[in-house]
Amino acid sequence: MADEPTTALDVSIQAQIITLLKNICKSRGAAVMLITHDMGVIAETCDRVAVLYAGRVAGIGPVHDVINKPSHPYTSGLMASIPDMTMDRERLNQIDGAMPRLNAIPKGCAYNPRCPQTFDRCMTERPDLMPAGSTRAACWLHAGASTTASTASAATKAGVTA
Amino acid sequence: MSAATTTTAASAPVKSKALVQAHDLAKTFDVSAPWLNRVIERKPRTLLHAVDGVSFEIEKGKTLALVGESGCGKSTVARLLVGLYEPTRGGLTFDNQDAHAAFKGKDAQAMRRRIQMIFQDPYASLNPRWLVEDIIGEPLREHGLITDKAELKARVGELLKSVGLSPLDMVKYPHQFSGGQRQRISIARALATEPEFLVCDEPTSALDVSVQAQVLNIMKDLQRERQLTYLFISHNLAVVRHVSDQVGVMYLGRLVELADKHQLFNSPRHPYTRMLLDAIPKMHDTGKARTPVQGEVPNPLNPPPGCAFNPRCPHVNDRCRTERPKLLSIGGIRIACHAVEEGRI
Repeated sequence: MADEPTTALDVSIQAQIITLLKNICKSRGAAVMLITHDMGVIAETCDRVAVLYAGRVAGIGPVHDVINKPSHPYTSGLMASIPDMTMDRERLNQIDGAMPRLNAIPKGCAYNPRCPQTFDRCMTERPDLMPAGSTRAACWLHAGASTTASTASAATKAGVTA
Repeated sequence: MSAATTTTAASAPVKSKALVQAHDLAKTFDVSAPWLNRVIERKPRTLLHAVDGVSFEIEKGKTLALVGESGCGKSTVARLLVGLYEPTRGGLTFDNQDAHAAFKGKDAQAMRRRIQMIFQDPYASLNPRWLVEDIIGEPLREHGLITDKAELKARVGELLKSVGLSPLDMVKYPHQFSGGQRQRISIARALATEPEFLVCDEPTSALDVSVQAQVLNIMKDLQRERQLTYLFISHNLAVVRHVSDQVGVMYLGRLVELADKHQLFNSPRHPYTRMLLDAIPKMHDTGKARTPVQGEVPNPLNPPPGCAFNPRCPHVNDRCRTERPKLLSIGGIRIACHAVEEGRI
């Protein structure tokens, strides 16, 4: 269990700590739960990743799929807000608004006030984790999509019903 | 404000057009043992060269980023620039005036008004017992810019709006805000005196990515609107690449490379810069291990002779071990490396 082990560190020390962590895991066969907001570290170190929002898991799945084809709007927003080493952008994408206070989580999906893709159901009913491609996401966009359906088709389907 | 701008306009064409010029800035800290211990144990004085001869220029409206590992002197440079420390050697020219002389003279207030700082930790840099109104209003009152209470309130409200907060927030305490909002309060406070130069010491390193994006966007918007000049300190290279125009890489109190951001990120020359860039985790190649940086920063109390980077450098030779490289202009960038100078790399 590692709670933000590298957050305050610069890249070079961070690399050393991560290598150390990986070696310990390999030699002892230990499982690691890594808590961080550094997606680079997650991409490099983890096998699976869960994205939390307001006390609930918004999306969970293999790290490659969560990063490259995020199925929850919050995950995509998060990914888009990270400055990229290969791309020049004048402005970063930002998720408007802030996390709700934990004693005043909105009705329905907790992310609905900030979500660009909300529809009626998001306002009233709280989504549970449901299959979304190779990952699982707590988002009504994926409701009714079969386990094999891709994220894109699920999104269009939801668009039609909405 | 208007008086300041007229002087700039009058004197600028004559001299350099850079707004901020640091020349040979150095700061040495005395970290000796107490006097009695030194006498009994016959220990000499110990000096720590936190910053040792750093020179750069920043043009108006541009951003210079300083990067480097922890302990390389980035924050000391920041504190020197805003006058929290007095340099041991060298100085700072701000708008063609000697800033450190001005900090001591009768124009101290005027100079301090023009240079402001955003601190690293928004949880520690705001007084928890003060209302936001007092926090942001303090520089205005302190500099005697606004004395009227109602006017002060209006101005604080304006400042809050400019950083994306609501004027209604001024009657709250810092603990009622999230990390990103607090950092925006710090930015609003720094902007209160309408400074021309902002020193930002790791303004987003305590924030998560979505909030970081909000703060960086606000900073960029403000820069565009008000022609602000930034010195941006960070160890997050992706953030640096996003915000800066020029990047300076520091190692053990010295600049080792200073270049345009595209040049630095696309073709880094100094072995240390290359090592830093290789150490960045790549987000889209999942599961791939990066090249870890070899070794650690040497103890600044006892730096290696010659080039400070020589114990970790793959291109080291005898000259690097004995002679300290100077910061030279080579191929449009400034770099302190014998190997580059000799064309070995």
